[in-house]
Amino acid sequence: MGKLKILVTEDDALARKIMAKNLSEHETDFASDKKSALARIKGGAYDICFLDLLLGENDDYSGLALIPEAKTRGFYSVVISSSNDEDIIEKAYAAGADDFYVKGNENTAIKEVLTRFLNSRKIALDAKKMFSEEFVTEDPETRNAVLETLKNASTGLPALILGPTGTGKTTLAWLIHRYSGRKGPFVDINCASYNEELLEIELFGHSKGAFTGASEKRSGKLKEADGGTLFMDEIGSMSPAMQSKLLKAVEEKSFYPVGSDRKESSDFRIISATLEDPEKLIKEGKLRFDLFQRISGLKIRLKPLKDRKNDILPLINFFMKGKKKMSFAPDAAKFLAFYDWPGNVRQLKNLSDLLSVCGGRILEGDIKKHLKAESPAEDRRSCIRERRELALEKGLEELLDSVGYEIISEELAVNGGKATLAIKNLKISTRRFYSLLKKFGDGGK
Amino acid sequence: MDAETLDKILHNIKSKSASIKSAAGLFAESGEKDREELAELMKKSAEELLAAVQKLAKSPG
Repeated sequence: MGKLKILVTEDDALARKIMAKNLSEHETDFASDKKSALARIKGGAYDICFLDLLLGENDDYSGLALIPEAKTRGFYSVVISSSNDEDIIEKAYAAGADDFYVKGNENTAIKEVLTRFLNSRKIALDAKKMFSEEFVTEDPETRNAVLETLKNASTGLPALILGPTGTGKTTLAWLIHRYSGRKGPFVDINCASYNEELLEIELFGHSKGAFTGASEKRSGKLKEADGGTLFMDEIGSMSPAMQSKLLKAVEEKSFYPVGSDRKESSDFRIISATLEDPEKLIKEGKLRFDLFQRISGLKIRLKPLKDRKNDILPLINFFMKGKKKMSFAPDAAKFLAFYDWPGNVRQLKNLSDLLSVCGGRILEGDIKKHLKAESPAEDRRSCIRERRELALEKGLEELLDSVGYEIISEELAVNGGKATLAIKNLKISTRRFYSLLKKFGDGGK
Repeated sequence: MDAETLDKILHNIKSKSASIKSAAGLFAESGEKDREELAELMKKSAEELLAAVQKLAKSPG
């Protein structure tokens, strides 16, 4: 840490002495009353101003009155108070304070304030590059939410990122890790990609011989993230039993690998994400309330792309860097702005990749063609949703039979009505073949 | 005593106590010269603290 220029406004001589001792590595000025404090602020160039809330017995919150003057000059303003009364904290932040600390524990509190200041300065310096190259957004609300989260990255608090799929949750988790100052690695896992048994093995690791095929001991993600960050995406997809095991590991920072009776420890910081509303998940019994409380220290909700449409063109430009330049015809630009982007930034990236092959002038038809080409997965999901409704109505067996009949009919149409060939090609028994024809075909009428 | 005056006296008491506590934390790791200065300042703060408490005692309502 380089030498900082600091102003301390403090009327109490003992408190000034304490500050001087704790800030001895920096260049520090002192002011003991409002008038001299104001003169210092107006005439000086400080990195940080520590402002005592009350300067003197009959003072009227001078510390708060000095904040606007310090902020105008870009000084990081820290209010010092002997009380952690919520009303006073609220007043300090409402007046524009950047930080707040309660007297009595200067030895650690000042160090923490300085760390937060340096982090906040670094984030402010990095913001331009970050929002144009890493988390691309021009949306003021999203920028503020991201910056506020990153300013608190060094606190080590757990973080919970909410938002639909493809809105940049993993990128934000990685940025929180980068600004956390944690030296260990960033380890990520998508909980929805594993069944319960595999997820347990992935998270906690396993001992040698824990199960068939476990010829060697293997560490899990919790251990890998020792000293670093564990990012758990789609946390709501975990079973309650797994959530319970995770909660214990988060609280104790220790756990048992599968098949082992030897406890392992790991100093990991947890960042989780979910695309569903956590309160709804809690109500439905899919998310444990105690786990939710434990993982939701810093909470941020990322907006879907349809609510920040000014980001569409900057994002396309970002994805097209180094590729053939293209321009959008007016109808194409209009379509981009009006489209809802259900897959958010990820979908826009896929489209940009597809369009980059053509380059040149992009028409509305080009975009529609590519969006259609990438939609089979969505069509399939929609088809499954419809079939589920039917299954709920008629029963799964009945639905599977009717689908089987449709396939048999198609096969017969293709091969010219040859039943023997259809039975062979579809690998079903003769009995089932005819029973389905009888049930749904002419025989069933 | 009005609520605002009481609030400020209480704030003053908390502030002096907190400073004395922090100074006590620093005392052990300070050199002789600093110790003398700290002890003197702690004494003064303690006297001011006592004065503030006496104000409360005189007019507790």
